[in-house]
Amino acid sequence: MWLVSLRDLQWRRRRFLIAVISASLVFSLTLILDGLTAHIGNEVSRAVGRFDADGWVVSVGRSGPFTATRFLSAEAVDEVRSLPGVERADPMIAARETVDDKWINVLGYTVGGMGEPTRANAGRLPAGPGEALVDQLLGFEVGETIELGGNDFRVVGTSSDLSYNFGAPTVLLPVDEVQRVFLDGQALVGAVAVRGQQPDALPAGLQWMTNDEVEADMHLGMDQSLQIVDILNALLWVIAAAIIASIVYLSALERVRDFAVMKAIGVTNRSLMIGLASSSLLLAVLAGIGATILAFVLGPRFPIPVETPVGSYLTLLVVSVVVGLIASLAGLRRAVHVDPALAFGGA
Amino acid sequence: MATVTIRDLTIEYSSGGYAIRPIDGLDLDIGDGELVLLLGASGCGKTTLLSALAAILAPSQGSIDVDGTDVTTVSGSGLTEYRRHQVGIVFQAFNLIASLTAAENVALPMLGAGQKRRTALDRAHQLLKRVDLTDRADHHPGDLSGGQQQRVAIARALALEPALLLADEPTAHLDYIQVEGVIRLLRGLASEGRTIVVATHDDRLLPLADQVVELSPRAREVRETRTLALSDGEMLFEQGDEGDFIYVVESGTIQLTRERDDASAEVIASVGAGQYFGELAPLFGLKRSATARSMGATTVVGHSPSEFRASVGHAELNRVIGNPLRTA
Repeated sequence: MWLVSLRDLQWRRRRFLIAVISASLVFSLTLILDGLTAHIGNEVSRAVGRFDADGWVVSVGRSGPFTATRFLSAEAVDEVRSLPGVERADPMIAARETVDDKWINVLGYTVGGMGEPTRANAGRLPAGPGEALVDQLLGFEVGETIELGGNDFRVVGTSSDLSYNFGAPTVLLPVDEVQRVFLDGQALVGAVAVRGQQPDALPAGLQWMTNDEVEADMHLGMDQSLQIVDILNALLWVIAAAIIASIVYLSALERVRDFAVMKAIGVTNRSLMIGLASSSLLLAVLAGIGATILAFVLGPRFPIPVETPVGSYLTLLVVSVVVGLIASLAGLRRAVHVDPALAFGGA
Repeated sequence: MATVTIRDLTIEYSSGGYAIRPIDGLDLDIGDGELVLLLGASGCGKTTLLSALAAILAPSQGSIDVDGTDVTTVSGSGLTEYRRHQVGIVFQAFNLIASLTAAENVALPMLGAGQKRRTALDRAHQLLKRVDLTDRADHHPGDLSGGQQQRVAIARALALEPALLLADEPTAHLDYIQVEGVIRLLRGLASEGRTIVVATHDDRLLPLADQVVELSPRAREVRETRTLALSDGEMLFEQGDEGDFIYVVESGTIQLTRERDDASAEVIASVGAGQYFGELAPLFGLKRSATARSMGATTVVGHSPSEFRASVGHAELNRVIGNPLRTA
């Protein structure tokens, strides 16, 4: 009986196409939201992971290396380096700045030390004063000048995957350049990235943070936003289901006499249900495929990178099948309850 | 071929809160290979009877035996099998599925019965050849004339070679040329030994029939006037009876009641001395739509329709029809 369903879809192809496109758009938004959520989590992990640290030393009471504004003295770095079990300790400073009316992160790292990217996607890494590695999200080309804190820096390299704080692009500078521009040359650092074992004791006024604690600290304030994204995602699934359900139900309503005729000539309810459910499934799966294509097309146009996990695509496939089946229920109910006696009587 | 035996068949349903009984105690025997016409006006129960023969409508009482099976008792898979293999239906409005081609429409019962698509379509093409529509096999119903659609509908009804073919008003939407084609086709199918029951109000089909069943009530020919003295509570006529006399109350009161679908009786009028009632059924060949019962000792005079017509005149008759319970 799939032939009847297929022919019906062909017969109502314009409406079917509109439904597929509408559901595809909604499904693609779920994929993009998944991708945005994933990116926000991934960029935090990448920012922390770039230092390849085993732990961090920060001032007591400050929240974390990437989020707070209290500083340590540069001597604290040497004190940490001298602690037993510490193999390497490098300073870092995180600051915020606006460029072209956009909030950006400015991250100071030790040239040749922890936190330095392995390479630039274009150009090279900063090697001295007045040089910056700029996030590709900012759109600068190598050789251009970027103004930070009233000082011009030459863009010697650009790189991807540097963002954090909800996709805010990042500019990497040597740590002493950050001190010069943002701390009036004071010998202060934001935190110390440590490779090695956690020291048994730290100098007074300092505290230890693990990588997980640093990441959790960066997520503070984002959780609520991410919950909103999850709720929006759930609503989008409902909207997609409603689109498919309304199309299937409308078709079922229009086919009441067809169902009555089919029942009168011995077509079973089971066959009718399989036919309707397969229409609904086909609609949902095509919408899923359309959504995947749309997500690939629309994703790069978002201001924040979209990193949709492979799992989301697989989930979309499974969920779209489930949505299709659930959406067909209303139509199925209508078809099953059609009285075959309706087939008799005039047009 | 199929033998059909109908005994004491009563079909009742609810309409607007009232109990309607279009088929009431019908007995009918249809032999193998007979072509039977169910003749009558709209609403007389032709389609209702066909629905019951197709096991789509359950009767209130009685039996329909088709080749030894009481179709009023089959259910579940037995019902599906009956509808698939023992009975074929040609619906009044063709009822072809618009999205399917003619061949696919004919193949539909076979696909529903689980046959392979190729097998079903091959057989559909054979059936379309039989109804002379080979060249229209790939057309959708919207591209076919009424007569062609009717022939596709007949081919569909024959798909699983049913022994009993039911056709509901097969000429209702056709012009006279198309009617001729359908008549030839039905006669040909009957000649092959298939039992065919046709519901129609088209008496052009009469020469086709081996048996004609008139379902419209025929008014009993009454010529005389009669005077009846009724005791308290005595019934003059009952809802569903055939119309005969038109009554004028000489003395006393007649109460008219109508049976509701919950078996209770609703009083619709009380008719006093000098008023008449019960004129529509005998004038138009309808069944009595209410029951008349005396309230206390009552005398009524029954007039034949012709006498009544003559006595009231044409203009008054029209007023009577539009405004019942008028004074004589």
